[in-house]
Amino acid sequence: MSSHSREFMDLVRAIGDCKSKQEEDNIILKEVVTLRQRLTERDSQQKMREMCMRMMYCEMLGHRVEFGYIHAVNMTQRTSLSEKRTGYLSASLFLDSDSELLILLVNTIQRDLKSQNPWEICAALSAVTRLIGIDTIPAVLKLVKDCMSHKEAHVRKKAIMALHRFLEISPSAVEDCIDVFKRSLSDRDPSVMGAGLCGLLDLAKKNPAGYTSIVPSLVVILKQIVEHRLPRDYDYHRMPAPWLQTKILKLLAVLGHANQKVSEEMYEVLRETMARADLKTTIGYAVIFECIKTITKIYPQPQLLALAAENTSLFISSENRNLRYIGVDALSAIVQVNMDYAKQHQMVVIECLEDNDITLKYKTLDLLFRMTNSANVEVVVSRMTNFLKATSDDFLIKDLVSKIIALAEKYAPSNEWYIQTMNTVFEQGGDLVPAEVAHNLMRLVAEGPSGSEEQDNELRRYATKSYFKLLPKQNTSDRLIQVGSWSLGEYAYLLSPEITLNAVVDMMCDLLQRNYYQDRNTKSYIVSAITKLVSQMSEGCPESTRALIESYTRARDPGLQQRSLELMQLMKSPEFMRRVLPVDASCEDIEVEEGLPFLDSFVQAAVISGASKYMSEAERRRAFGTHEKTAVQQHAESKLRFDAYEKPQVPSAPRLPSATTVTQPVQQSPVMQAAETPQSVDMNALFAGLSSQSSVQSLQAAPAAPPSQPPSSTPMMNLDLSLSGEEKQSEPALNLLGRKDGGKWGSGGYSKANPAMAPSFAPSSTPANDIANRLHSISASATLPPAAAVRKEPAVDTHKQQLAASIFGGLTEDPAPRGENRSENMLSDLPDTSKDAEIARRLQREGSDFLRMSEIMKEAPPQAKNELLDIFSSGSKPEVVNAGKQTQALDNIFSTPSVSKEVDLLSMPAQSSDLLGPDLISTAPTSHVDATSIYGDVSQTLSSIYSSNQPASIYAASPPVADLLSGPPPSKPSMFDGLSTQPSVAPSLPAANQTSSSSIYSSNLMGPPTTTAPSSSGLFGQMTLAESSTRAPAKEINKAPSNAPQSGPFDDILVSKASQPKVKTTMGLPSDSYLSSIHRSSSGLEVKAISKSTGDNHVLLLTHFCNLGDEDLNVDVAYLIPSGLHCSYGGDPYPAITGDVATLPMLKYGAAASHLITVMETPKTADPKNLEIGFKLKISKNGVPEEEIVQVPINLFSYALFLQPKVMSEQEFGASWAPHRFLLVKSWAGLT
Amino acid sequence: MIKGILVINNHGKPRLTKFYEHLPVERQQQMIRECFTLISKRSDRVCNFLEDVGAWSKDTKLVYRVYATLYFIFVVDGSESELGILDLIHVFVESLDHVFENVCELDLIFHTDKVHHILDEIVMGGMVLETNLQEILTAVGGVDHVSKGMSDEQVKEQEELETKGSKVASAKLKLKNQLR
Repeated sequence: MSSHSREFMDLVRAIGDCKSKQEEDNIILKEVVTLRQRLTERDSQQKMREMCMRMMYCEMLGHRVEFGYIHAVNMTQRTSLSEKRTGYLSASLFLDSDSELLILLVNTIQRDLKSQNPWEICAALSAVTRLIGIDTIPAVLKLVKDCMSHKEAHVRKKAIMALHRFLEISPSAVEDCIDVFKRSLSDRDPSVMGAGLCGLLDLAKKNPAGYTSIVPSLVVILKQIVEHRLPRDYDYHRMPAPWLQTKILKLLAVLGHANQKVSEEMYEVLRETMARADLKTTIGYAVIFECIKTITKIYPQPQLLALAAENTSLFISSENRNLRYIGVDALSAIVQVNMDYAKQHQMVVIECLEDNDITLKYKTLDLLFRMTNSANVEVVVSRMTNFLKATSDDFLIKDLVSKIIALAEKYAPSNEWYIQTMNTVFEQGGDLVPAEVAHNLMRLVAEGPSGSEEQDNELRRYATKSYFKLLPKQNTSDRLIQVGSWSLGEYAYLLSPEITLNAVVDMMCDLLQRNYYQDRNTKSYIVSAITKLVSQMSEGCPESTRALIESYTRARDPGLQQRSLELMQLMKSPEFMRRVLPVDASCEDIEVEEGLPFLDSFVQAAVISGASKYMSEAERRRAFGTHEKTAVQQHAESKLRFDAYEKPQVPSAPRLPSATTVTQPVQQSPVMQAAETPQSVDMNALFAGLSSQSSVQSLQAAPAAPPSQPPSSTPMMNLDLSLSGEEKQSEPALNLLGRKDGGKWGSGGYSKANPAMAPSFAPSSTPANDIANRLHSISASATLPPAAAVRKEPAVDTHKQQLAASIFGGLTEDPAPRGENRSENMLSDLPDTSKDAEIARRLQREGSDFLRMSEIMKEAPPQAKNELLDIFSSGSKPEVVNAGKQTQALDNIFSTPSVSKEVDLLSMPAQSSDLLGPDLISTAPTSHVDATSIYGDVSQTLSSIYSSNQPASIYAASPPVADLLSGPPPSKPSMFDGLSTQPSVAPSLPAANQTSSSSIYSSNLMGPPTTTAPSSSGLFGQMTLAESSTRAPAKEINKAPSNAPQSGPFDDILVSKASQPKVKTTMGLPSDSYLSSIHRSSSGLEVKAISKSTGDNHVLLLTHFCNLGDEDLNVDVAYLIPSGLHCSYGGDPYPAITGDVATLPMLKYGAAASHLITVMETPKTADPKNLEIGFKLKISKNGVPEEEIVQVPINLFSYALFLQPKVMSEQEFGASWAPHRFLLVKSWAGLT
Repeated sequence: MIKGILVINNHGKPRLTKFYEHLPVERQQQMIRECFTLISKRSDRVCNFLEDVGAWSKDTKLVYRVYATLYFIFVVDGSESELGILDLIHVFVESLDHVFENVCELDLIFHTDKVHHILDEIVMGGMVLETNLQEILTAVGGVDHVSKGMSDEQVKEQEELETKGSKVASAKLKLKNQLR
């Protein structure tokens, strides 16, 4: 004792004397301060060992001494063994495997593991088992393994323990050391062998079959031990190495489990071990108990089992409580193999149950639970319920309740007994009884266990009666009240003459007035029961009950309040009440029409008057999930300009020149000149394609058209007139467009979005912008009935001016060059006439269709007309395009219904051609095909930008032309490859072509400023572009068979549209377009399907595939078309059921492709919601095929919210709004 | 597996604590208190086992023994044999008794390191490592010089031997002490 300082002695004494925890804490806090000070003193090093002990003492009493940890670590480096050991000891007590100081320690451990002194190694190994974690295992693993061959047994045994520890925390790290454990069995030192058994046991538990080979060795070892062939040292109370015996027995149990062959090897040694165990010592019993457990675990042998059972009685009949406890344990092990052995111990078991030792009692209950069968269930359960009544420990109650319930449900001799038992459980267990139990009981009562109604009613009567008696008792548990109330509510009528409904209701009212319920639903249960009972009372509700219920109509709990109010309401019409609350109908199925079809008309009306369509949460999440990601990605790219949403300030005047600039020949743009690099060559090639194909035709058509119409003095004037003319009726036009309908959001959003576009557009005159703008304006126009689009503008002054400026800017310069250059240049590239003839034929056919349609339209109610008008919304898109150029001429053309219809139709074949891929394009020389394929690619690019699988930086690149056009880089070559096979490709393209080609579109450039939705441009740009491009051939063809009927002038349509204030056109998409599905397949293929109802039973289905994965995908798409639907694909009727259509050739990363399918003649009867078109995608990824089926409703009831942002209010949109708005601006920024 | 070893006196003051699973200090204190309240309530006529202790995970048992004023509590999981642990506690106490000669409560505090060393020989990483009393005593460093009241010289000699670490040397010393 003298070696300790006075301070330490005083501390220990003070702690011993203190009376309260606070006092103790104060002493220790003081001590911590002292220690901190002492450790800094110079002579502290000599006293360090004691300091460490004092620190340990403080930590043991719950006070951290972090400041001292480092001293403990330092002490491990001392040369003195005792100090080193103390250092390791305190370090392993203070630190854990995550500690930062461990790094310092690992070095020391490594050194000490190599030490010459075995005690140092042992000290280090002790620390290793405590401190080394997953991360540090590799640092010491080899050294520890080397210790396994150390000559000292102490070292070997600790090393194997350390390895076992590694095995526990990271089995994979020590995989190659597993044989170390096996080899340890043959170690000459029994201690090492014993230590190795720990590891083997763990390994065998994981993989018993892998270690059966060691069984013979184990048996031999056990035999040796039992036969006293080990050194006497290992004897404990004259038992030879009892712990080794137990370890081996445990291991044998694991290895012999369910393995007869292995088990047979053990029988003999087990018998011998049992026989030789000394029954005078506890440890002897421990060995016997282990034997019993092993015997019951391994493949059973009757004689051994009998022996085990015999030995069990030694335990269970012992006076020693510990042995009894073990005996009960052993008995439960035995009854699992053979129930018979339990019988002879019945009385002892019951005795144990009466014991006042709770552990023993509890263990016995556990045994009883295992012993229970249908014969003794009543006795066992009654014991258990007695125990339940006596105990107050929640933990025990919960366990008992679950045991009683399990037994009662499994072995119940009668239903009455079951209900009785359950009632007791509810009574005693109270709210610790799980709710499912109550539900099970209610279901039993409701459904009736027997087939016969009579018996079931008997049971119900019994149950209900018992509840009638039980419920009024004081302090009944909530659960019991709930079950009872429900039963009484349902089946009280069965008690009828004996107990009147009135009596039951009175009783329930009493219950209702109690105020100690824990569960707030309890009173709701009671009110529900009263409601049911009142409905059955012929004389109606007693006044007192009514008063009581009325008082609850003001209850604080909404559930209770609602039920009370319902009852009050129902009481007003007893007849109705009886109908909604039929007697004994709890098991009747209530048919719920999940679709709530009776609400359809209501919803329809709401949608028509401007409500947004419902989108399920999952869809919304899916939609926004992809969306937000895009936003984030783009955000990383450049800063968002929130000023995009500021009030528009750009006056119309300055815009004019800028718009003009855009329409200037491309060569004038410095950017373009700078881009006269390979990229711009690509551009040229593209434009060559554009100009040489479709635009040529449109230009050809342009000059051709005017003669047939009274030529306008200037297009500019013309537009001006129309604008001013429309000003008066701007209000309905606005409504028509849904700008105001959109709520507070509508117009504000529009106009705010505008300037964002304006600055970004105007200054830049690169073709990329051009195309982007074009796409936007066109797609915007797609959404707006053309005339309306023009008309709308005057409503807002700035809008009007901007629009006028932009349109005029385009107009002033456009028509002339376009008309001339193009026609000359491109006449040589005239399309294949046979194709045209075919188109013409179809046009005629369609023309007649249209006639019929326009007839219908005249008579149709406004709403229907609107739908019909949607046909034109696609067909007439080009009209907006043309508005600036030759309004009159085009009006004329489009007022020819056949033409507009035809345009619509033609666009589809054109569209679909591009999904045949570049290869096909190159072989298909028809001009519009090429044009659309280019557009298709452009729009794909845009949509892929939109889906943002590319880093946004691409879009921001300064010559964005090529990037934009080629989109994801890999797709570039293929696109241009296709083009280059055309006769009039880049090389031959004069610069002038570019001018005109760009100027065609520049007329729309600043077009309706509503084109903020990139999605629309991306997804619908394709369609609309295609349409505008096919407009030209259409015209031409139309001229040829000019006998197409001229009915239903376009103006009329416009008027009818304008007079429909309720029609809502949403931003970006027509209101009848749906983004049906965004699907990401496992292979990284993103599938989007957009269905667009054209209103005349046609549905356009645009499917868009985009490879988001990093592998190249080869995709075979087969469309599964339900029979009864006629689909056209690429202009040809699509085979009705299935057919493999298109192969999307090697989609590189980021590349995209689209298909357009027209579903015609949707059966009127069929609910379009239920019509689904499937895609069967066969995706080969690196040559490995996968298959997936995507079902897409062709007309989904829900919108993709982000495709129509303007009709959403901020509230509706919720939190998703901000990122969404953000995205819109972002993608614009990226495009320009 | 043994999850923890606690030695608590009959006033609930911990005298030795060792946890084989890392636990924050606060949690350790909670465990100690909980174990003490549970066990101190039990009469000495009941069994020495306590099942399903709330503070530890399920399948945890307390196996305890009372020696004079001290509760020796082993916290074990289901894979340990209760009777085996009961006797292991006895082995532990026997070794303490050998090392300290009539071990008393204060020995556990003043020679915490030594007690821990003994325990480390018996249980390592939560596994029973050694139950052979002689082996334990040899490993702990032979005869304890402190409790034998050896002179400073002897202490030095002892420490030298310790550093040499030879089993033979410590055995010799033992013999030497016995002869005295």
